[in-house]
Amino acid sequence: MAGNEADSPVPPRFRAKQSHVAAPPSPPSCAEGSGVEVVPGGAFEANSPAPPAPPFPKKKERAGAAAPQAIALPRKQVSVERAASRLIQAGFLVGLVAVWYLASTRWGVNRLLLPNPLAVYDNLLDILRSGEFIDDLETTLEELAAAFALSATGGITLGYLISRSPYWIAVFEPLFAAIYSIPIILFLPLFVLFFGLGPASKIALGAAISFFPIVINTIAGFGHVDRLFVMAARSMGASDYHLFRHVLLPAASPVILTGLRMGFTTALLSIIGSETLASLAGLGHRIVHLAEAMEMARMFAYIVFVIAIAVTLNTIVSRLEARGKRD
Amino acid sequence: MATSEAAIKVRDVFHRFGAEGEQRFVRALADTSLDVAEGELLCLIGPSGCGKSTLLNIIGGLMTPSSGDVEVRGQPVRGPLPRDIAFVFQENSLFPWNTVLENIELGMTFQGVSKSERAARAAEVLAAVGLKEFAHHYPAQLSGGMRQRAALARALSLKTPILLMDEPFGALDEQTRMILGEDLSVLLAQSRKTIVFVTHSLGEAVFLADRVAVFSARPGSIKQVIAVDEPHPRRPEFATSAKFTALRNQLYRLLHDEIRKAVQQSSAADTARAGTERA
Repeated sequence: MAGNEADSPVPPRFRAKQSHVAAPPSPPSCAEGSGVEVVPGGAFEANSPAPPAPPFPKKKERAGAAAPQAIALPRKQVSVERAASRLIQAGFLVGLVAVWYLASTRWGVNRLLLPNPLAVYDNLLDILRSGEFIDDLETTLEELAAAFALSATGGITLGYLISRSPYWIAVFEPLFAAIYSIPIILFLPLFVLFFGLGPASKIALGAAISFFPIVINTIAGFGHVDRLFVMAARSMGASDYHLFRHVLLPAASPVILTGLRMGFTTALLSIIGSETLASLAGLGHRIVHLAEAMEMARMFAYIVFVIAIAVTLNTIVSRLEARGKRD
Repeated sequence: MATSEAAIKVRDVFHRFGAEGEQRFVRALADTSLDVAEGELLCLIGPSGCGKSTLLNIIGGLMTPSSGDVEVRGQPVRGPLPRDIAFVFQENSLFPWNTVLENIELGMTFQGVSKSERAARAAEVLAAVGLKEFAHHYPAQLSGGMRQRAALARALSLKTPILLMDEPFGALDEQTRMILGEDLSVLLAQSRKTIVFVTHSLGEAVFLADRVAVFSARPGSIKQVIAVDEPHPRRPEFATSAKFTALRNQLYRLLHDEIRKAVQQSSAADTARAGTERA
């Protein structure tokens, strides 16, 4: 408070002094040079200052005035730019596959290290057709769902409770941030000892890793709501429920949704990663198993499959996040 | 002015932030007493950090004073009084995730106003502040002046007898501020609300107020109260009258020494802070 008011005494004093010296018809600061007649009743309409820019829909077209309209660039330009960047992205991937193809066919890279992409493609079709992936996919997705459910519930609940007190925020925010920065996957052996080689250890590890981005963002979301919003709501008679539902939640939800997306991604990565290190089933397990059997083409096919699954899931989650932020 | 019964009574209010010896310890208000009559517009003016806003928040029940009593319409203040008092804050107190209309209706929702009544009152206040066409805009799509009109509309929709305004036009440019001041005078002359208005603009205080309470530097207390004997709604010509200038100059003389003191205080505080940081 002191900070933002520190320099404000100067302007009024300065203005006042001017009028002091210039005596009678001094321009008063409040209604300087105003020749505007105020008509009782029509109060504000008569002389309201023009809005800064008129991209706002006027009168009849105001209907569903949505935020994006105001800042939209010409539509055509945007879509052309977007198409161009998509083209470059696709070109990059095609280039990568082309290099891969040349490396395995022309440049004599050992087939055991790098299989022919066409063989990988055949294997992928075979995997999809036979449906042999279903058990492993199920295992991995179940682990992911359980881990994410645990970390989301735990992270949001704990984050909300911590955010209620500035003291607890000061204690836990740096602590969680510090833990978030260490690679928890190093503790995988410990998780396996505690929970066994089955899904339980993957669920525990995935939940532990994804807990941190979720709890940190929840604390940040709920803990740093502008005090003015809370005061305004209280002054209008908001109950605790009203305050939570209409102020805290909408203020915090964009940050929390980001935390959930990050948590989901890290859970997926750590679960598939840990499956490759110590497991009995799951997509990661399958990939390592094939590598040990030297079935490189099939292993690569599974990798492609996992990438497709991961991209799909992340796209869905990002869409949900964007949608949640819009509402 | 104290002929009608006081709507707000402030008695011997002291307020401090933090505990003695702490770095953030500040004596914000010392021995402040004040009556605001029913239907009166009182301006609080004073140097920065003198506790004007603190006093406003104490009257509105958003802060509890360290000692002293506040009564609003005969009742001691123990917390927010949403049925008696509405606030207009300095800026950006509209919820950015809601449209103007939703912002206005939300305050009434908090108070359990029925849906049809909410819609009717919202339409009425939006028309009164001239924002009818911007009901479905988000605050970020409005200019600063329009946002403050919307905040005023939200406060008016609650139909409280008292309005507390904390530098509502403080962040606006001089011209917008002047127009809003004129419009406010018209609007409030019709409503006959009791209003306490915090400002640091001398001209704004003289133009709007029935009485102006001048604060001393920190710890703030009321140094003098000046009456502006001029009927509402105030005409723009009032701002160019000799009476206006005389009152404004009187305010300026009263404030000048206090502003000096406040500036010295804040530079002394800066030096002290720099000293402790070095140590």
